[in-house]
Amino acid sequence: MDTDIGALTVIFTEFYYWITVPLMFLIHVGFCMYEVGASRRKNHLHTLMKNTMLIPLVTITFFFFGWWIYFAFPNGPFITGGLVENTSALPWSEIMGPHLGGPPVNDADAVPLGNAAWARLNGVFWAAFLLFSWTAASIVSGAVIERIRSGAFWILAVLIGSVMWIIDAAWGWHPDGWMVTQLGYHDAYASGVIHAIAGGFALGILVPLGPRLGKFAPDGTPRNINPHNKWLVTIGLFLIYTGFWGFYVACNVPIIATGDIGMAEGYFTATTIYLTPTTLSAIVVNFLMSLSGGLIGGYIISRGDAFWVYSGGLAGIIAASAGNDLYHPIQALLIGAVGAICAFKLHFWVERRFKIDDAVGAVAVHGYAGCIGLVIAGFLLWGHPATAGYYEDVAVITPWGQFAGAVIMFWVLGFLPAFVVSNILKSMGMLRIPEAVELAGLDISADLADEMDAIEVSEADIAEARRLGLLT
Amino acid sequence: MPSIQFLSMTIVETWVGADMSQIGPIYPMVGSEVILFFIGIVFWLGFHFAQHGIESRELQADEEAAKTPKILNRVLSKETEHY
Repeated sequence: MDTDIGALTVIFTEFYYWITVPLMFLIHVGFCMYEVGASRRKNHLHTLMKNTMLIPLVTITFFFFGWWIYFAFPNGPFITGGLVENTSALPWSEIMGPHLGGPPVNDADAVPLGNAAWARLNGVFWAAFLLFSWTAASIVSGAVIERIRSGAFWILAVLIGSVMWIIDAAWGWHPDGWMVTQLGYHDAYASGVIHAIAGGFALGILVPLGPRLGKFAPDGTPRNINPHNKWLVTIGLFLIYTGFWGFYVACNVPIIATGDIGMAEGYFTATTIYLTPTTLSAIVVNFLMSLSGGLIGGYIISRGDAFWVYSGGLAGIIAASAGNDLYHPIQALLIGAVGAICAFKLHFWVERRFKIDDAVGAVAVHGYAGCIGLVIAGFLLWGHPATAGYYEDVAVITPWGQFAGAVIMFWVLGFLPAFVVSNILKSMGMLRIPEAVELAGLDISADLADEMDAIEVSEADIAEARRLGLLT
Repeated sequence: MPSIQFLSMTIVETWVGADMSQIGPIYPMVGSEVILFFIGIVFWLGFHFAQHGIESRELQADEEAAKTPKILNRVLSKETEHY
């Protein structure tokens, strides 16, 4: 911050990440609309509140321990090394509060003089990662609507949002993460680290939670429990697309000197989270092409069903995200279409075969499309370096590394912890609402109260009309 | 450790001629971060306990209302209305 160019770079970077936060905020407006629309009217207010309250809970827990996990866990720990010491991300670190980059006041703090840049950037990085954390929890939220207890969901939201996804980020979305350096894992825009893990986590809850009452006929045939407002669902998905722009931008580092990342000196570049070069032009075009592939694939496979066309667009972006820093736009287009078609087919196959009631197709659109995207990246990007220039021991992208990554994201860090914790909550009678309440609707008390209010107001209006001689 | 002025909650005494390279945290009560962390944890866990109680009572009341045939019939017959 003591030279013009240094100050401009820091301030630009600060602003760059800041702008991604309100953009990604739109993802959550979209998720709220989407889930409220997808639920039946008798549950819509509780559905809204279930999704809304994950925001403050994931926020505070991400402050308390999630941010620290990202910096401490790249080695596992105990896979390629121990915990990485980092005092800056601890909740009691001085730079977690407003800080101008000067020397530490407390002896335990590790912000040295001359690291003014990090003191200014820590907060915006934290906020960008926090919005990813909210996204992981929101993805899970849709699958479990209309029968999960809100309290149970909020415990699970903290688990996925502030623990499991951030462990996977330390492992596979960090330039020094062991999955990157040992497996050549490449997942630039989070096919696996957000979407596959959230899809697997949702499935891990759905198994013990069970289907909604009336979802399956006695012979096992699934019934369609339709959204009460399909327009709200689709405009919600449209807003999620809009927020996804912010997500893509936040996944990049805007500007860095090539000499600082082990490449030849003398240039500047944008990079992925792995500190490997890319450009905003590349990701803008690939985002649009993979969205288009998904919309087209979704339209064809669902014969124009609005819900599955919009979901297909999302699945398309998610499938291509692992390699959208590198793909040719037509590759991104085709991968998008494949992702959408696979998500549609797998959703209904799993529903019929295993009697899984995923109310919004979250496991398919995020989980299966994310996994498929990782594996496709393993083939299409085979041999490309996964590690940054400062790693002499180059790890390359391979189909087996990507497949292993998909298994780790979906099953090990996603499905398994959700399955265990959901079963614990179930054994304590805390997972699911009573059946009578499920039939009457979660909003029954609020609806009855509203009805009483309306009757009272109506009677008052009649009395007023009589007083004014308008009614006899 | 810089001295804290009497009746001041902050370590910033003035911006007049301030040397940016020497100014770190600017929030009130620097040094209380660990205490604030524990207060935050209590706040968070307190929410979960309080919410559990609120939800349990609400679900109990909902269940009683739901077991009233007149109310349940009305809800279930309304489900097809908006399609």
